[in-house]
Amino acid sequence: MSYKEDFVNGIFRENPVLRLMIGLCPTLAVSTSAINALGMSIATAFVLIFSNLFTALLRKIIPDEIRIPVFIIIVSTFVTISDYIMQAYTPDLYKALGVFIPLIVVNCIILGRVEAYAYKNPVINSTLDGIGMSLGFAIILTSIGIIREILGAGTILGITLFSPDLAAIVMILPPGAFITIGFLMALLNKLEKRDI
Amino acid sequence: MKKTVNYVVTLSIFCIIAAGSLAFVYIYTMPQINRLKEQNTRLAVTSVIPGAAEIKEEKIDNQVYFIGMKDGKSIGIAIKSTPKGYSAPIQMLVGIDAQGNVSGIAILDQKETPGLGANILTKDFKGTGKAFVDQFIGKNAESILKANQDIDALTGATISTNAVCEGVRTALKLKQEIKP
Repeated sequence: MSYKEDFVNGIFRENPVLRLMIGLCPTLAVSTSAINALGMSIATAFVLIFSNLFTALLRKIIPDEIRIPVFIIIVSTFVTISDYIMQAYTPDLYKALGVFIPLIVVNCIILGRVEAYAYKNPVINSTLDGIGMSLGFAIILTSIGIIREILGAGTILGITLFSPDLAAIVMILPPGAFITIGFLMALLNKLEKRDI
Repeated sequence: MKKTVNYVVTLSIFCIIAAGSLAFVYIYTMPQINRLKEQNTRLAVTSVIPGAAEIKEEKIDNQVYFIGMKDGKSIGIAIKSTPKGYSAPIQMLVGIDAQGNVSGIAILDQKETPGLGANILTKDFKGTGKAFVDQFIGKNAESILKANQDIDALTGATISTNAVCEGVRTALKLKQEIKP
């Protein structure tokens, strides 16, 4: 695949949330507001890009039989690093995301890309795949966050748009995430004119 | 056999490198994290005891108290309380004035659901322009402290609301125990 294809792949054709249907757990949990979704996207991007890069770099010396434990060491190292950095430099965001940072370790987008792509492809392609996938995840997660925050809480990035009494609380509860993902999936199908 | 040794050695090398880089990041970020924590506690104490110019830390029976002082006199006490939240304990600080009324509450650490329970931190509760925890100000040991009775519950987060109530109740009880 060309560099450009590697990059665009994660945004549309193999969008992790809407196409591969992976990473739904963090998607449901943190997309209750736009700022949480954005923060989670940035943390996930950091981990995904560096895990892809290092796995691709080391792919020739990682024995096939023990590749999964090695992947987990690589991924968890970057998760812990981002946990410390966020705790030290962006304490407010860290407070809001709380439990979800350690959960990036088991985010199947990351282990999935490392196993399915970075382990078999050169460094530059893998890094671009990581960036594309992160961007695809970030765009969808933030869109869901914006939609759910407006409809469920009547605010956007914390700024009040209308009275919370008019908001549909179901949208910030888990069913709201499924409803939003369903509509976004339908929209992407329509845009790509895919027949199901 | 040779293969197995190879696996063990490779995995160990990866672990050592990972541990080394984590130690490096830890050493580099820990002072900043500790500084922030200390600064937060100090800020929290002054916010729950309005008017405190000086803070004295005291430890009685393994419970840490912060006494707010002004002109050499104690004007209130801040008590740490950790009620059980929805997913993990909520760490909060409850300020109680000399008359035994709640003078302020600060949430130090919480792992409630983002967007729902985590709104215990909200500074604009239901569009009133007041923080969620401000509604506890003025409550005392005789208050009911229950969601939807004397306390307005957070939308979709009654458990978190009741957890904060529980924290306030514990702090009020502790206060009575140390100074009857």
